[in-house]
Amino acid sequence: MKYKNIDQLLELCQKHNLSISDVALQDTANSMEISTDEVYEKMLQNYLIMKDSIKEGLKKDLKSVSGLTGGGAFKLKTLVDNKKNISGSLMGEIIYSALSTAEYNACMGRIVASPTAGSCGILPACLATLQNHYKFDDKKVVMALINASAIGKIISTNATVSGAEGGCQAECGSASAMIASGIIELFDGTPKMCTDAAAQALKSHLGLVCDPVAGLVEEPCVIRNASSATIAITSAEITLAGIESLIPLDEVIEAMFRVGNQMAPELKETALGGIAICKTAKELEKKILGCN
Amino acid sequence: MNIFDVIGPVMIGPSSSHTAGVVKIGNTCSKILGCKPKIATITFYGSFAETYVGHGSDKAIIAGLLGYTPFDTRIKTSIDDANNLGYNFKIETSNRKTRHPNTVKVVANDANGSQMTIIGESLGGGAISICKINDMKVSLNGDYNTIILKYIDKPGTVKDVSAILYDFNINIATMKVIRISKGGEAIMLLEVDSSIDDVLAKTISSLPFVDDAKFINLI
Repeated sequence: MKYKNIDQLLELCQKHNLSISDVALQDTANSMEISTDEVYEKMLQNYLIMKDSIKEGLKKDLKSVSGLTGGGAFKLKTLVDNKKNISGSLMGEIIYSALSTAEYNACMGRIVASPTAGSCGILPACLATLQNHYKFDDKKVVMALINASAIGKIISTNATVSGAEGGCQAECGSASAMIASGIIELFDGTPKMCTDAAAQALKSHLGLVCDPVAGLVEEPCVIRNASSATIAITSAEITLAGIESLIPLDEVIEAMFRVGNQMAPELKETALGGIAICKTAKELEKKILGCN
Repeated sequence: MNIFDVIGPVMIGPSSSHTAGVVKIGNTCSKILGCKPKIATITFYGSFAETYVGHGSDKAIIAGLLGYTPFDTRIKTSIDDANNLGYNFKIETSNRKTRHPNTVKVVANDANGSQMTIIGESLGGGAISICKINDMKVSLNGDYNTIILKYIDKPGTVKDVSAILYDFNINIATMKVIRISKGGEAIMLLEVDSSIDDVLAKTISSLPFVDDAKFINLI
C-alpha cells in the first residue's frame, strides 16, 4: 500500500477498490507496525483536540501576547448566531472556526499542527462545521482527516509544507488542498475527485507569500486561515458539480514547489517583505518588540 | 514520514519552530543534565533573539527545562511557575551568527554539579537537533535513548561497544562515528531502542579506550 505520488495513490485506490483514506490507513498501520484500529484511534484523538481548540478560541477576551490578535472569532460567531452575517450559517461557522483555532494558537493555546501551527485552523474549521451541519459521525470525519493527511504527506515529501521554504502557499495552500480532498470523501466523491478538488485549492494559492508582521504567527496568518478554509469549500463545491482540474494534482504540487523556490527569501517567513515591511507593520513591530 | 507528522504534533502555539521545538530542546537539555537545573543561563540567537517575546520562546525553553512537554498547557505560565518553585533562569540574546537561525544555548550545572553547555537548534515542525554538548559536536533529535562516547580512535572499538549492546539485548537505531584525526579523539553516537540502565552504563564506561561516556534516557 505504498505510494510516492498522487498517481500511485489513485492507482492503489482503483486497483483495490478503496478510498484514499483506506489506503492511507493501511499504509500507516504497516509502516508504524500498529493496527488500523490504533491508527484510527490516534487520529480520532487529534480530531478531538482540534474541536477543543475551536471551542477554546471562541472566548471573548482572548488576547495574544503581542496584542495583535484574539477575540475576532467571538465577534463573528455573535453575528452568525444572530443570523446577521452575509454568507449563511455554514460559511459563517467555517470562517469563525478557522479564526478561532488560529487565534487560540497565537494565544499559546493547544492545537494540532495541520500541517503546521501557522495553518492549524483550516482543517478543524472545515471538518467540525460540516459535521455540525450534516451530522456526520466521528468515523466518517476522522476518515476524511486521514484522507487529507495522505495528500499532505505527498505534498511534504515531494514539495514542502514549510513557509520558510515555500511561502504561505506551502502552509495554508497545502492545508486547503488537503481538506478539499477530505471534504470530497465526506460527500462520497471518488478518489480522483478528491485530488481534483485538492488541485483546485492549491492552484488558488499559488504565489501566496509568507510575510508575518513582526515575525509572529498572527497578522496576516490568522485571516489567511479563514480565507483558505473558504477556498477549500469552493474547490469541493465545484468538483462535486463535475468540474475537473485540467492540471493534475501531482503537477500542481510540483508547480507550487517551483514557485516556492523562485520566491525571494524576503517573502518566506523572514518578515523582510510583503506586508511585514509596510509602514504600519514596522510601527507595530517596534511597539511589540520594544527593547529589541 | 507518516501521516501523524502531517496531522501533528499536538502542541502549544504559536509556532512549531519557535515554541514547540524550543520546549523540546529545554526538555532534552534537562534529560542530558540528568536533572532540572536550579540555575541556568539561556541565550537566544538569530531569529529566536529577534522574536522570542512574541513567540513565547522564553516561556517555552523554561517550560522544557522544568520537564513540561510541548503540549503541556502550563507552558503559558512557566516563568511564574519557575519563580514560585525557586528556580533562577536568566534569558539573554546574542547577535552572534550561528549555523542555524533558530539556535539556543543553555548553560547549567548537571546532576553532579559540573557546568555543562548545550546548544540546540529548532529545525521546524517541532523537530530539533542538539548539536553540541560542551565541546562535543553531536546530533541528537531527542527521540531516542542515546549513548555518547568520547574515545581514542583505534580498530575494534565499534565491535566492542556493539558486542556489549548485543549482550544486553539492545537494538541500535542509528549509529554515527566522528573522528577528529586518525588515532586521535573520536566520538561515537548511538541511538538505541530501549532504556539504558546503570549496569550497561558501567560496562561501557569501563572499556579501556573510552575517555568519557554519557548515557541519556530521552524516552
